Amino acid sequence: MDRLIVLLVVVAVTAAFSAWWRARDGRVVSRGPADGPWSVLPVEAADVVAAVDPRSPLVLVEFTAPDCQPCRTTATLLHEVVADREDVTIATLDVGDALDLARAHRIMRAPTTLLVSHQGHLLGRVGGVPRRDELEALLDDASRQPLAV
Amino acid sequence: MSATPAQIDVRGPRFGAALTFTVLVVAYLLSSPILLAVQVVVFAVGALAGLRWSPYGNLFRFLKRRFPQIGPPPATEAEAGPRFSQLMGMLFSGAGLAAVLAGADTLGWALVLVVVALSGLLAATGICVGCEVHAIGQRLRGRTA
Repeated sequence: MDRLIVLLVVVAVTAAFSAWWRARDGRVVSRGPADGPWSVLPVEAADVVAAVDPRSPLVLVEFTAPDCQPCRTTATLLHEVVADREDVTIATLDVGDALDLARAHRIMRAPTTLLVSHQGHLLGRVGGVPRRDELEALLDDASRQPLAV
Repeated sequence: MSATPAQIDVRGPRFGAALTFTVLVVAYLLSSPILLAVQVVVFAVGALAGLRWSPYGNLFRFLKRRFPQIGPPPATEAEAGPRFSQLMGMLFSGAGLAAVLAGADTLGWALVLVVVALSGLLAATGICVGCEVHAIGQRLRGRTA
């Protein structure tokens, strides 16, 4: 009987953690203010911009790991999403090759994707494979901002 | 040496994790070192010989052939990540088996429950353990270098 109780506790904790993980996995967190221009945001990602040297107003920076299937899925998704957007490019950084950036931006998992402006504003963040509709909404919002020139 | 790493169906590891979860839950409830030993061997085959030889992987491939409606893989992945997970499973459940055989039942089954929780998590979410460990491991290694 004791074993069954212990097992049920373990399963319950695992189920709760799984539910929490699924709820946050791929969720796009916008850093933009509720209203007003995003150019008021602090310039938090100047180091990322310096590393990837974007040729567009906005850049999606994906932090990856070797042998990471979700990273490949994310890369495919990012390319699909930006295919019709002229103001967004994609950059990829291996966590191991960009340790300082990973540490500075608290990259705890691969893939993690940041949306930054070419001026170094951090506009959004996603851990895991992004949810397409949320990512597209973030890019729509960011593209309308005056900082994306 | 081949430059192309072996690719596997991304659903395979989740299927295997669900089986692992089931086998270890039964082993724990029955307090069966034999069933635990079977799972340790399954882990060892996948980790040491490669996922091509994994019993659960072969069962998954058999089911795909037997039931074509399962469909083709939605995506493939390099076997390195899932194989790393098999290695971790082998080490934890192997240590658990050793502890149980040595008479340290509580420690042994506690280690088994760790594997139960992780295999349940993998089955439920498809979490890429190797990816998560890599990012944190690289940061820790960079900090201590």
